[in-house]
Amino acid sequence: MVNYSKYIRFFKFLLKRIFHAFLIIIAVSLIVFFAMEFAPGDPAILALNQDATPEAIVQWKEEMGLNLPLYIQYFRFVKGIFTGDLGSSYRTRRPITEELGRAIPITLQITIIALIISSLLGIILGIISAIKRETVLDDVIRVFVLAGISIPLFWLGLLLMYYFSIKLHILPSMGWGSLKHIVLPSITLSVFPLAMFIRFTRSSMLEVIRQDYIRTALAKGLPYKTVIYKHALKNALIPIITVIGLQFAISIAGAVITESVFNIPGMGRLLISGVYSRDYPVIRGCIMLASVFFILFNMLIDLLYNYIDPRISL
Amino acid sequence: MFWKRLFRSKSSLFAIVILLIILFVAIFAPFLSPYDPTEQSLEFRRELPTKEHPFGRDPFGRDILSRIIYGTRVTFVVGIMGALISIFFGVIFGIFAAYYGGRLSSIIMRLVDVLLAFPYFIFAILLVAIFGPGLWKAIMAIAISEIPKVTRIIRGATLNIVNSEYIESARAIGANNFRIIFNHLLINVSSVIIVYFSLELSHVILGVAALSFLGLGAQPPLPEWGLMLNEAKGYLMIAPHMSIIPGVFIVLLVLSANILGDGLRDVLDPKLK
Repeated sequence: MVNYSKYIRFFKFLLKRIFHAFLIIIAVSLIVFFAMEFAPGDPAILALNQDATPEAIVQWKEEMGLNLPLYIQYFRFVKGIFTGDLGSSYRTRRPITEELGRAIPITLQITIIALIISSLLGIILGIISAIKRETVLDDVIRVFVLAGISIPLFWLGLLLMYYFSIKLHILPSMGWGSLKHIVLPSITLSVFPLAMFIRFTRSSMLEVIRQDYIRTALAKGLPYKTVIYKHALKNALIPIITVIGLQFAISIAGAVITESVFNIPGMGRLLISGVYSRDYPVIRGCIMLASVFFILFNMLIDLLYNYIDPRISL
Repeated sequence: MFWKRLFRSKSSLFAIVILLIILFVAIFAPFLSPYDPTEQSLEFRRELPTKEHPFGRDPFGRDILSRIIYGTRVTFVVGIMGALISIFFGVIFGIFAAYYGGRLSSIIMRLVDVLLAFPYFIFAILLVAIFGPGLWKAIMAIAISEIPKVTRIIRGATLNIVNSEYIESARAIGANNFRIIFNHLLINVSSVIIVYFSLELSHVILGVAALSFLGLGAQPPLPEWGLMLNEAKGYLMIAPHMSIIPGVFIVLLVLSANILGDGLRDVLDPKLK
């Protein structure tokens, strides 16, 4: 007889969690949409120029759907999130979904590669640092961690660009197109999460090693290595899953800066140019999309965490 | 009290010294700075370091050393104001949520959850997009986007004590004035607050520098280090010193704040590590 109760419990949690994520997406959309209303300045005058005729303004507003009552505009916005139509840019009048569609894969590429590098390398170094606590290796790693969280992303990017691109000429400094273009941005973006992963893995490992069941296993005579790799590691890694979510958020933010430094046509650069030109649909679209990604990612992490250790609930 | 233990750590001592030196420079900037930080001299744009200008000049011919010195003022104000704002509101919301519990706590924490659904820094960009660029707006934007995080942490820390016998006995003796209880709670979470103050210091400084680098924070001719990097980045090939030097000082200040935060954490509550 197969025991289904565990799966049923998980399924209930899944539904609850999806509903929760949905509510948060709605709340975020409210904030993102209505926040724009507080902005000073008439978007019509900003998009057309100073001496546009009143007729041109009215016509433009009608095209953009701005003369509809606010709540209808909001509903169109929300509907657009789920149907994939995020409106048109005030500046270029092109549909935003199209531009975002081109920009997002680029941003995702850098972000995912950076996350993979930082998580794998970070966990390994964190484990080493924990096992070899109080040795020189541990101290070196900890210094690196402190440096990693203190170095501003934009400066690191400039430094790497200067050294590898201008001095050594082995990597391109700007733009996008080949595999070589991915290297510097990904490395830049990975430094801060790397430091955080090392730090968190280290403290998680240390905490687990102190537990009684580890002492018991060692007392029973099991070799140190087996104890570490079989028992300690598994339990230490579980909380690290939650850190991945946090680092993803930081990576999205970091991507904005990195794309500005290396002039990469991703979502971050789109967002910044939207902020400069007060192109509200672009700003709304980018922020909404970034937040939705983040919310869904966190939901996946929560589900994974719950699957592994059902004692944790929301 | 804990000062002796703090000073025993060499790295914490180092961090405190650095911070005090930078504070000193910030206060006495007009006396220490060799030139006027906003005085342009367009013939000598992007001049490499010389004896008269040890850090060289920036794209507008302004002396970089003077800009760094005056920049300490900007950065200090940025860091302290931003950290104060985020810690202040985070503590209020956090303690209220933990102490009163129930509906108020749910409302606050739901709001925190929603605000934390924005990837870090994106919310700050949203605020700047609405209210326009500017140093104070950038400080407020970063500080506000840090408040939910601090709220959650303070609430967690307060929850640990709020149901303890210590508080119950305080209530039993007749401390029915909520302010007295807040004093008790506040004193007990003060170690967390102090640690997070220095951590928020580093986050705010980095965040505002990043916004300034993107052109959304400090505006010219303010000698803010992030803005200086923005102005310098186009000339990386011919005048790298302009891009390297301000960053070094950002790292120095942020590193000291982080080391201090870690040192305080070790001293005040080793369990937090």
